[in-house]
Amino acid sequence: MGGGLKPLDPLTLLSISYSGLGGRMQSTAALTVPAVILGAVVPIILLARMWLVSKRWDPRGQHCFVTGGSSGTGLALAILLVQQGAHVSIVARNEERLQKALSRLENHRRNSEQIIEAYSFAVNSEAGSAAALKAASGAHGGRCPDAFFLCAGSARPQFWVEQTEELMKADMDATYGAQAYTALVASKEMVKQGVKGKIVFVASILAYFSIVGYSTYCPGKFALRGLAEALHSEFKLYDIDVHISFPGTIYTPGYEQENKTKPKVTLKIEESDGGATPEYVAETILKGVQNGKFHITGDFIGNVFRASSAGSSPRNSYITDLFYGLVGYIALPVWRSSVDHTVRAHRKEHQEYLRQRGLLERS
Amino acid sequence: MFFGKKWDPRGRHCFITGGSSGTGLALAIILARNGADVSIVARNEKRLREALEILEEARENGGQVLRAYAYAVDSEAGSQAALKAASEPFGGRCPEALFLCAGAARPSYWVEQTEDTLKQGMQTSYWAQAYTALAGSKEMVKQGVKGKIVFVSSVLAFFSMVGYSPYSPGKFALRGLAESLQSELQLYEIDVHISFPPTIFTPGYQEENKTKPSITLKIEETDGGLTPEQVAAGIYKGVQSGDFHITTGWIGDTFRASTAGSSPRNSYMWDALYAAWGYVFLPAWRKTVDWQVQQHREEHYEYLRNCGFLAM
Repeated sequence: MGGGLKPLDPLTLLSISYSGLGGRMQSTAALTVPAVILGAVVPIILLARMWLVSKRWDPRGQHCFVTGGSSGTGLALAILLVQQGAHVSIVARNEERLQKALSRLENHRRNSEQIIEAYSFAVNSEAGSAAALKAASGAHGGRCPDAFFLCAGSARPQFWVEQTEELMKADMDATYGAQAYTALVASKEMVKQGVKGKIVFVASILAYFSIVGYSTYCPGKFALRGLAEALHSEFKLYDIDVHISFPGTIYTPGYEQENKTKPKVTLKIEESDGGATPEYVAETILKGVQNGKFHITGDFIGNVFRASSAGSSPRNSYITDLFYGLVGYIALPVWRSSVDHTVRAHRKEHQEYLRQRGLLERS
Repeated sequence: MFFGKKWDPRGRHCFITGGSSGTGLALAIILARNGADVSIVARNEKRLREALEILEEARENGGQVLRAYAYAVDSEAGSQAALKAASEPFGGRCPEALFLCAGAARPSYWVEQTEDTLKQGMQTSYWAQAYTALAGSKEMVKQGVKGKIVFVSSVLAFFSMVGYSPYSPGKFALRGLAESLQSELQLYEIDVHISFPPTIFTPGYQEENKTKPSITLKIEETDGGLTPEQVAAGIYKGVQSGDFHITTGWIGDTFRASTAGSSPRNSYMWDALYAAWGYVFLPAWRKTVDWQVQQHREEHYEYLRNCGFLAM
């Protein structure tokens, strides 16, 4: 007999049990046997499915590729992954920072089998990402990584009227280009090698909304979200999971840099905002990935925005999102009104700023 | 909201990119009929001339300035040049309303993309409008013109699915830009609007379908669509009413209400109803899309083998 035996499903069981009765028992009592079997088997199958689905992703033994991995959230994530027994490849540009990061990772090594490496590449191009991927796969006999954590990116808030084509292109590159090409190269390789892996984008809460000063940043972060939405659907062809995280302010050296040139009115609006450490953000990302969440947000405000903007994106919990969505429906417009008020109140000061920089002069 | 004065295009200079065909031309006709001065901008000279003739038929009065300009606006320099040319008949005064209808879609599988095709996709979906918005708003600020910027994005900026990875990022990016500018341009009293049309039945759409992945076509089988005239009428109405997000039809409205977040809403009452409906309908619809994609796996792997992406 060729071919494998098909697993017994409830219907097959039912027909076997019924035919086994030979149709001899014509009374309705004959139905009780298959009914009991169904009644026992079906819940067991459903419970088993639920348990399997809710099994958390375990990084142990998985090869995790982390871009932007020498500092901030990327490094914090790499440390967590190493602590949980993963093989980790961190990728960034600066060799010195990479070496420092690598020694920190070594301190968290859990067992001697773990392959922990650092690679210096610029990943904001297909070629750069491909080279980085090849190098990282080299230490694993050519097998590509199982999970890609794309933490590369930076922000440069500034007024719209100060932009040029060049600046806009550079900003798109630093937000979208920093992750899209790695995702491209990674997924192509995973499909070719039949690796049912994961791609984790790191966007920003500024992919749910925007305010004055972020016209240089939001387009790229929204673009990442659009990409994640497309890929989440498309990758059902390959059993590759897609996750995307939306952190708020993260207290990194990059953030200090950003604030030096950030428009005053933006700083004013953000005055009362909190922020999080890279370690906290990394924890929420890993937790979200382990729990199989598509959109990952780490705090109350993030959850409110997420629930209020989800649309048709698969939700993690339809019940709690209802709560967050209702809160958002009332609170967000109120908050937004106050932001608009702050912007309008800034008009006069802003005109002065423009005059001083010669931006009101006609060419 | 209820008693606000409607925006009147009469006597206002409206600058329309992608204005020689499809939604752009349909908008130009509506604006011309309502007494606006209209400048249409596109690349193809012949199509522009034909469009201008059609526009002339919509002329409402003898004083209207109706012009056509051949420029590629997908660069800052090109946009600046087009704006300068269009401002000349007005003594250098820049247009008051920019209707940015330029753009195109080329849906295809992600694994068939390269850095070049991704950049091309961003060029036709995002940059085609972003640079004109930049050049136009800078000029408005310098001249103290309290104008309007109208982006034309897509429902594929509210969600996405298989086949649209070269297109949705750019359309989402337009939305991100509109969100930023809606806040920031209050510094200058410049209004921002963004429209999210569904499928529009244009020659461009026929082109798109020639190379669209078969699974995407299958999923869209039951979708309706709108004519350019319907989309243009919806945009015009939305701009007149001062709506920020402009959608036409209940599907667009449902998506808009379900994804608005903190974006200013046009009607909190209607949106609550659409959002409640969307909370139930959208996930159900999404599940059917996911199921169809999963069903397509075997056929897709065959396709990948045939085109050489996977070894036979």
